[in-house]
Amino acid sequence: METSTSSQSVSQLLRRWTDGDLGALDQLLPLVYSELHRMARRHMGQQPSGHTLQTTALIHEAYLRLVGQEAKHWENRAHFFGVAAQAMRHILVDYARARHAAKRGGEARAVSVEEAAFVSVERVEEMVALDDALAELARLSPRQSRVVELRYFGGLSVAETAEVLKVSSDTVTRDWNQAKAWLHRELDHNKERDA
Amino acid sequence: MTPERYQQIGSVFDAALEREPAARAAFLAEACGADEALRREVASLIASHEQDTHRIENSPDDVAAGWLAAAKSIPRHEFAHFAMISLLGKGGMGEVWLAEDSQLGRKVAIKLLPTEFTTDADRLRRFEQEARAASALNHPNIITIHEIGKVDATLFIVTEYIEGETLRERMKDDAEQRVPETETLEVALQICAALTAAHHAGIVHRDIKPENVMVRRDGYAKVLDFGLAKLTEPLPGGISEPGVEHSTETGAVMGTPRYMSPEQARGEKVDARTDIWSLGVVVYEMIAGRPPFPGKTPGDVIAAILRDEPPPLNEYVPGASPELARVVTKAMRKERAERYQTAQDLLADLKELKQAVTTRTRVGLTPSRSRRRFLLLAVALLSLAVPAGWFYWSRKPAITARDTILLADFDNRTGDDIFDGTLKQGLAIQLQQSPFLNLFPEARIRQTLGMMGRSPNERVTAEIAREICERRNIKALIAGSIAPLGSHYVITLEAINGQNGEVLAREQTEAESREQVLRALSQTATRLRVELGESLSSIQRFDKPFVEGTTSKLEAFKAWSLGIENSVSGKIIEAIPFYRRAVEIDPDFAQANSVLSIVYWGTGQPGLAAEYAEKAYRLRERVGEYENLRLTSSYHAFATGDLNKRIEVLQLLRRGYPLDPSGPIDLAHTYLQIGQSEPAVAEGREAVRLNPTFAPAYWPLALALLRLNRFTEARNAIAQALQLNLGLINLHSMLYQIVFIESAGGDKEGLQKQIDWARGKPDEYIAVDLQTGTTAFAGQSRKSRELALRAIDMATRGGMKEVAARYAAELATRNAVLGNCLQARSDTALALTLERGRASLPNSALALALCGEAHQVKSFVDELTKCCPQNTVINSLWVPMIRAAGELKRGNATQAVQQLQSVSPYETAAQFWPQYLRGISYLKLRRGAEATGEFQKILDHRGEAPLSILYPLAYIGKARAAALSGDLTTSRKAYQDFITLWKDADADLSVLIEAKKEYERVR
Repeated sequence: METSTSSQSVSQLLRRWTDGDLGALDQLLPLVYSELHRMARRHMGQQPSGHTLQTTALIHEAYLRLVGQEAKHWENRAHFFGVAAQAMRHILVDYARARHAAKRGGEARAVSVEEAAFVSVERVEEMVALDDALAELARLSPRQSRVVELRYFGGLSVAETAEVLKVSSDTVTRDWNQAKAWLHRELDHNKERDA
Repeated sequence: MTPERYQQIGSVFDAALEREPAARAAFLAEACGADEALRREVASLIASHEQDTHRIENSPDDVAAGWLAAAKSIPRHEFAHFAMISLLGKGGMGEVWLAEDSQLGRKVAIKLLPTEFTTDADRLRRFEQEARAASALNHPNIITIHEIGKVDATLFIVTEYIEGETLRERMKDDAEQRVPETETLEVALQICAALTAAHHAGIVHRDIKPENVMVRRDGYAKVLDFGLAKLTEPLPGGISEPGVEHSTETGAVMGTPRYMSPEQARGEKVDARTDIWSLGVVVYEMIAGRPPFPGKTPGDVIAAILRDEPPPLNEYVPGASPELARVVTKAMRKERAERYQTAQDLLADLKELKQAVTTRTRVGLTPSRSRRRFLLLAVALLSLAVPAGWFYWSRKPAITARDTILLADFDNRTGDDIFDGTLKQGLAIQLQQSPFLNLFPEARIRQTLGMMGRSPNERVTAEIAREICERRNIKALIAGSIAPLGSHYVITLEAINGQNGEVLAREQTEAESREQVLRALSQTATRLRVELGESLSSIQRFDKPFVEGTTSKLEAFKAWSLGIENSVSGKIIEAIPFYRRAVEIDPDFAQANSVLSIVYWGTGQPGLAAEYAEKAYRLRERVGEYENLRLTSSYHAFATGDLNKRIEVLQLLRRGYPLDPSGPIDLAHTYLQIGQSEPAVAEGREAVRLNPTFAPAYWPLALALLRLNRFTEARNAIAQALQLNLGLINLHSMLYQIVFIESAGGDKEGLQKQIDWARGKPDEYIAVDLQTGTTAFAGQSRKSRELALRAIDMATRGGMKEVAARYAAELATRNAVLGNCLQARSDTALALTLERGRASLPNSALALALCGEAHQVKSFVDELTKCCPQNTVINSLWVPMIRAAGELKRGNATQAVQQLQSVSPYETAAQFWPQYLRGISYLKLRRGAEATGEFQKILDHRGEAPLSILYPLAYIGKARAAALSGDLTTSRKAYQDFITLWKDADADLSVLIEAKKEYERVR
């Protein structure tokens, strides 16, 4: 779907969201989501094959496209990245799940050579497992799961993550450490189970 | 684990990490005490922490890269440039996939045939020959084949992708598997048209069945799989014995022998007449909901085909038309010499049948109007009988029916600025004639430019157009240029792939003189359409050279283009002089007359709107079908005022041009006029759905929502329109009224914001009128009058006499209802001096009726009914209302109530008048409960007329009615509410004084 929203309103939605209007997030997510998708199509049309893009670079570009010159504040950028991290998680996990399912079902989902070159089967499985583990973590500690989402999928620094979640940097560091340790252990357990 | 437990683990974990690794074990033992589980848990987390946790820290760039590569989607297998998207269906003849052709960026359907069909090279060759031949017919009801190829042993056929369902699925939509007769006929006609074309070319389908017909959502049908039967039929000289052996083979392959003709079932040679049989069976099944030759096994079916006569159609469907039954029977004669001999014959009968059925249904509705309706019917039939011609891109369809196209600005190298804007506008008109061609709207181009960080008014060069295409995922763009060549001009049009910049088509024409330019442009555009793959039949039907519909006079065209430019950004009043200039230069310029009528109506000038709608209507023969429907709709809206007729026309428009939001938008406006707010909301939403960035769609939607008291939704709709840069004062006016309601007039700042918006604009008088309304609402008669006179003055000086006259007439009704008849009379006189006509007569008549001027009222009413005998709003709403007011004044309350009966269906559009007059009548009749009901209706539906003075007055009405019923509590409360609303009112208003006195009495 096309964005029918100007950069003005993306900024407004961001502001509303930071002011605590959760509904604004519902409106923002699809915008960011579809912009990321659109960019993917665009990019690969132009880039020579084998050209890799970082997720953070992708998100940054989405930011410039959607928010544009409207808001240069650092806080705004952090908040936008906060939304984008969530969108990015959806996209990557969906993608990974699709590939995972294709492999399992033995279905001949067409996998391009390039696609195969970039991402290994293990990596796909790990992404799926991580998403499951994150869902469980969200039950135990919603904030920690957000921290992981922001840092891992959104590429936010500790300080930026703290800004988005409105907590101190120390808290983020502590959350991050515990969440990592926990997730790491969960993923290992998974692997053992599967093996 | 519970979140609490997790938190507990977390705090021990944190504390442990703060210690030296060596000290951690001891710390844990101490901190966890007896809770061994806790200790183990934390220890395991610490172990995990000390291991390499690197992988969670690494961004998932590799996965993103994989995703990006997937988005590019180049599948690995041999269908080099096709990416399979999803499986559409599976059957005896293999699988059908939806796929994307990444070279052309379009969706296609790919049929993969299993090896068993493709081993025989000779069969394969015959199949391919025939399939290609059928596709080459370029018939709109025959699916287009893009490509046939073979990979390993798999044969694949790439065809256009049709969004819709198979006829079989369509039949299953119905619980009884039936399809209504008209729809059946429509589909049958199209199949038959396809067969006629194929048979003419010597191609027999041999396998006509519901699975082989696709029906699009708009009713358009396409026959699939021509030639495919060649792969499965017995070879010449092969099995010719009837019976199970053969049928089993066929049955296994084709699924069912149900549609086989007797000769086919016998394994004899078949000719075109076999298709006629099969179509007969299909039609029978669609009507009856069951096959004519049922059977449990293929053998039973074949036996039935050879032996049985099917039960007559009306045995299953008593209502089935006997003519249709006759046609079907003739198609299914066992002896082929007794059948229709050609598809063309069958087609002729089906057409006649369809016409008869349509006429019967239509005329049956309202026999008295049959003649007029017949004209409409003719239009309807046109659009039903030939759905085929609609934008059918064939051959190498570079663009398909639903794709959107962007028009770049013309590159004008002549130095003559008359061509700026003009040529683009001309091209747009030419291309808009096609119902399925979607032009990317001008307003959205501007919006996108803004998003790209450019000025919204920047010229859209071919390069910028490309960028917009990429952003908006638009398939193609058309870039034009005009250059001088001596005293001649050369016009070039190029269609460019919006995604990769490849030139799809290019056309050039030379114009001998400046005056020939528009004509040359028109010709170039037509050729470009052919070049792009549109079928000739479609072009013949939908390509009226625009010089005929518009004008050959460049200056007129230029003025018109400038008008459009102003209109799209909401500068409606500013656009008027340009349109006027256009019709001055060329009075026969149909579109300019038509747009003028719309603009006049929209700016509150119904008299002028009627004049120009009529002019445009008289020129309707000159325009294409689309424009014809639009100006016919305007004619009924503004000239005759027959809104029921308008609705019919708009429904035709919507049917024929399902992607165009203007059908639903105009329907929404019309429903609003006749007080049907719910359908108006539905149409408004539909328009928004069709094109969420077409700002005018939000206007009627917001208005309808406002009427229904759905203020938040209305606000949202307005906000969306404003965001799209539609600077329409009507939107601000609605916002003002919503703020006024929601803040009970208290949000002065919010109100002022809307007023300030209009400052200095040519329609600022509307803002003044709003203030007139709010002051009147608060009982500040003197102030309101001053404002009204100011608004009248401003409108008059702006040349908007009809608006001024209406304001004066409205002032008169307000005075009349307050009992100030002296002033009401002079206001009426002012109104009629300013402009005597549709804008002033209704309110003036109402005011005078309220003041008992029976004689004058009668002449006004006569004038109205004479000018507008078919006008729905005048005859169904105003006239009875005016008469009721007169009766009331004469003391005939019962007659007043009677007069108002017919108004009920429309009354939500009548600004509370019917309810108010009825309430007063019931008071007179001392029927308290009924009176309360009427006044309460007003109080409960504030959104219908947010600034009406009848709203505060309804409180008095309610107070009196309640007192009449002996409910003093309610009465007191209502008086209090009224007095609160009028706390700042002019103290000497007799209404207020009386109300206060009455209040004292009930206290």
